[in-house]
Amino acid sequence: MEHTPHDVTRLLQDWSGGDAAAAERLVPLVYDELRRLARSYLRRERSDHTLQPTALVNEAYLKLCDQTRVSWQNRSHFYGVAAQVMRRILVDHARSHASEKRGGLRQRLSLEEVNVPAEERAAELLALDEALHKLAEAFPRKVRVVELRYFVGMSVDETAEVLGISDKTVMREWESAKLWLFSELDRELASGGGA
Amino acid sequence: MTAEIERLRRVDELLQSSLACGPGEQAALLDAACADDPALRAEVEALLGYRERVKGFIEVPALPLAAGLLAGAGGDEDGLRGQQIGPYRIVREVGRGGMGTVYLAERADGEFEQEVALKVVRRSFADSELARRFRQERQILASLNHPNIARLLDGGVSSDGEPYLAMEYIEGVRVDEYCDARGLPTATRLRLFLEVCRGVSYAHQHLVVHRDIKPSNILVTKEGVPKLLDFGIAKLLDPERAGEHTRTELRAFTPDYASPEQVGGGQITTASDVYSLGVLLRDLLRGAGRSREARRVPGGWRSETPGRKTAAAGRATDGEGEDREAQTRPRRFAAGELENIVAMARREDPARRYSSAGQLAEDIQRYLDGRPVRARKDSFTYRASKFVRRNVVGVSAAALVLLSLVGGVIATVWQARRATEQAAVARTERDRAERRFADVRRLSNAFLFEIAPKIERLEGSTEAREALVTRALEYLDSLARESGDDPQLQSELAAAYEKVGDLQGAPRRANLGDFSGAIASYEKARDVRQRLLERSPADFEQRRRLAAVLAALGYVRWWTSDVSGSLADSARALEIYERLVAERPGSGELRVAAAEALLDLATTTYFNEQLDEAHPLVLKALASLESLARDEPANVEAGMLLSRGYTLQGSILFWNTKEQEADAEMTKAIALSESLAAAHPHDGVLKQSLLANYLQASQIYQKGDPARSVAILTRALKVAEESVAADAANTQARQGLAKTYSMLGLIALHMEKPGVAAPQLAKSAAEFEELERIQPKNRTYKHDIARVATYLGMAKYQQRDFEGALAGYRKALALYEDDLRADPNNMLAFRKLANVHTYIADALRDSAKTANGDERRSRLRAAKESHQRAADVYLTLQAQNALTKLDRQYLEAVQAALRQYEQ
Repeated sequence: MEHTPHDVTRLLQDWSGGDAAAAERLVPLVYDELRRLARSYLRRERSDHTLQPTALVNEAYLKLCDQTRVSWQNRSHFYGVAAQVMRRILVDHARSHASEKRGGLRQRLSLEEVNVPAEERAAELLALDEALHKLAEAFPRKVRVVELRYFVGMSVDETAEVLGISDKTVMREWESAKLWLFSELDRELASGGGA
Repeated sequence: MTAEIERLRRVDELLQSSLACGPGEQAALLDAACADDPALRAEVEALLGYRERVKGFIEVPALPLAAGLLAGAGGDEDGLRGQQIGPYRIVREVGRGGMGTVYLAERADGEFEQEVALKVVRRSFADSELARRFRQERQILASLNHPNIARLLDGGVSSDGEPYLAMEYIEGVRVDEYCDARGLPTATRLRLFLEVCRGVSYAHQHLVVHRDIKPSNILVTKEGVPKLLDFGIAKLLDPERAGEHTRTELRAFTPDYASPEQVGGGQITTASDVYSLGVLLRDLLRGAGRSREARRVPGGWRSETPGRKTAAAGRATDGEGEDREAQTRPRRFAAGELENIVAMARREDPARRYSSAGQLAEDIQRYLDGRPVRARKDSFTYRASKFVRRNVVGVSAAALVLLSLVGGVIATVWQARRATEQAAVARTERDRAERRFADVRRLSNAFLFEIAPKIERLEGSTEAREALVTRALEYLDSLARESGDDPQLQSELAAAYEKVGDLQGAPRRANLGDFSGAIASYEKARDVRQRLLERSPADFEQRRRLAAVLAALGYVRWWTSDVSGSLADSARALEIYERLVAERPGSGELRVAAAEALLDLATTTYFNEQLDEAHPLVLKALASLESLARDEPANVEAGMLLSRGYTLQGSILFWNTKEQEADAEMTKAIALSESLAAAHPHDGVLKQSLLANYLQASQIYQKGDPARSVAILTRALKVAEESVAADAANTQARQGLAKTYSMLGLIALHMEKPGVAAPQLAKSAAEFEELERIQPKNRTYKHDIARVATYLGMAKYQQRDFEGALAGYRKALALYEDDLRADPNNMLAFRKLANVHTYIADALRDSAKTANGDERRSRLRAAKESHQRAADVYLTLQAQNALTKLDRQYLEAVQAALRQYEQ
């Protein structure tokens, strides 16, 4: 089950070469690595382990890819995949929680703002995911920007670098994407939709 | 399908252009683009309508959350069941998140039956300092004992090194669900909310901020008692960020509950909780009949789209028919007072919200009692924030920081005062408000004094700096009008004027050189302080502050050449200081201030050529400073003033032709200030003081011992150059360097080496003119320019270039005449006038020697006239009984010259 840097590197190269299936095969590899890294991060005997946005994905990238053989384009693809993996992980988790009902138990974890009650968060995440899906057809680039910014935590210039567009374009896409998404969520809400 | 996408893209295109242009241009843009497609316009505008609400939306990355889920996914679910943590045994997992897990647990030692909610934090405290702070905070939280707060029972560190907290286990229902499920009428909801406010208020009085008030953190028990969960937990778990923003990973989805300062990473205070309470109140009020999902993306009922507002209001009454109130209140809410209450709690600027949860509760109570509520716009803070918004462009960042600090002081005082005005506010709350105010003030003072010099250094930002001061003054003036006669607020207002005055023209500190502006600001401060003293004449602090502002006024007036005004203010400052010192003779600080005022007065008197008046003042100042230096040998201020005093004494003695005694004083002065500067090598003020002493001392040796003078000036040049090298934008340092050049030029003139003098003087002139260009309002540069022009004239004269000499002298003459028009009492300018007339006369007379006939006669006539004018100056002084020894010498020389014309 161990994956060598070559697996990922080659898949990235295949993908760049036009093999769409390579992208799908990348996902489980990236998923496993991200999950493993996240665990080790949280277990570390350090009081200041605060996760730096992008640190996780960067580390996964360094682990999984043979630096001497990946191109800029490969790297961009990798981050794109990682962003989608992050999104998928969150949404899968939310879906499994949304179906759970926990009876009268009302006291919830709120150790920090992260800890919005699981089922509440789940519905929210699912709604956002849904809204992103709707946006994807007309505005695929907006969705990429949101994935990198929100799910990976990239800064504007990092996002610009990965997508090969200007900072200004990233900002414009980001600002407009937020409006589209929020309006979609609001519409959902007004129509009594949701989970 | 494709058409639909095209349509969406067209909307997006317009949306992006609208976002890129100003609000003014937006309408025009949409007019043009959607002339024949109103639906398109509506779509774009609907999206634009979300602009306010998306603030904070998905801004905080979800990654840390994802990492938590990843780490927790699969694997050891419920892995701790039955396990013991501290004295507790885990029954089952209740919840899980990025930072830890919550279990239902029971006492393992069986001592007494108790169910607890056990929170185990997935991080360890290897760092003992963190652990100490964790314990400290935990103790504060454990001391919270209130019926509406879930108690923190216990806490510790497990054998695995993981910190845990045991909380009172609450079985209850979320407050919003509780209200909705029972279809509670508005009044009942308000009473429940009041209880929540009481819990929050209680915690605030114990200096604990919740930081995360939202419906899921408030459970209502079977008995109908609302309980707040997790008070201060966010801070407890992240003590390193205490006081900063807490982490807001999922704020993305509940941006509404977090205050703007939380979302923006600002300072979190009790006001942040007030904000969240406001959101809670709003949601409870409109919650009726709405689905739970509705709260996840909270809509503003003040949404810009009117259709939606109506829909929401309509839903609020659907199916809630049991109670008439439920139908009538929402309408009233939408229209009036409750809306004002919610709005006031949710104001963007924390200072404009209710000053406490108690205040918010009180307004709710007033509403329930049918009394008018207090929530309304308070105009001045409103104006302040509007100002900041209006001026974001064009005013430099530093300027805005400064402004908000000045504003912050006032707003906080206002808030604290407002809190105390209202009887129901608990004493502790008031104390806390005052404490917070003190903190803010300390902070703003520190920033102001750090920022002032930085603003000075913003090159090419003169306009921005002036705009800053102008706007700050407008702002302060409007505050002054509205501040009523609250003495505390008035006093703070005076302090703010003083700070602005300092920025414009602070004595001996970097400033904008806007001395007339500084005078106006200081005068406003002075007037406020005088009014306050009329009411309580014995107020020691107020008297001290009045003396300080008068001293500043005395100093600044001198720079604007308002000599008589300067003397009057310095004398008043001195008088007050002397009385204060008599009341508190032990205060070194007061003694320094008094001696400085005395020395300022002596200096002004000396420079005003009133040597006989200046002398006793200097002697008095020296006596007091020498005794202070004996009492407090380490007092740097006293040492610095003492060296200044010796220099002044040396100069007075010199002009009274006591050269040897003068030399002794100068030697003392230089030794003292050199040793001070050596002991504090990074103290810029001491360096400037050393430089000033060098320059003044060098003058007395110009004629008798020019080599000594040159030696002193060489040391001066080193200090001046170092200061400029350390900070090239420091105009004070640059002025010091320019003065040093001019003194070097002067000494060369005394040695009759015009070829050596001219380049030094040219450098000096160029530097002063550059400084004047940077700070056109700083009139001291005019004096400097006039003096250097005179010296340059002298250099030309020595080179027998009489026309060049006359040009220099006439330039100086015009500048001095200018000064005298501004202040006829400016004796310095008056005497300079005589000097320059004499020089002009000399140049004309000597140039006549090489001319013939009419030309010669006309030059001699002009020379005689100039000599006559010089004589007039001295005769005027004589008539005023103000003739110094030196004046008399000059007068005699001029009269001798005049006699020669007769021959």
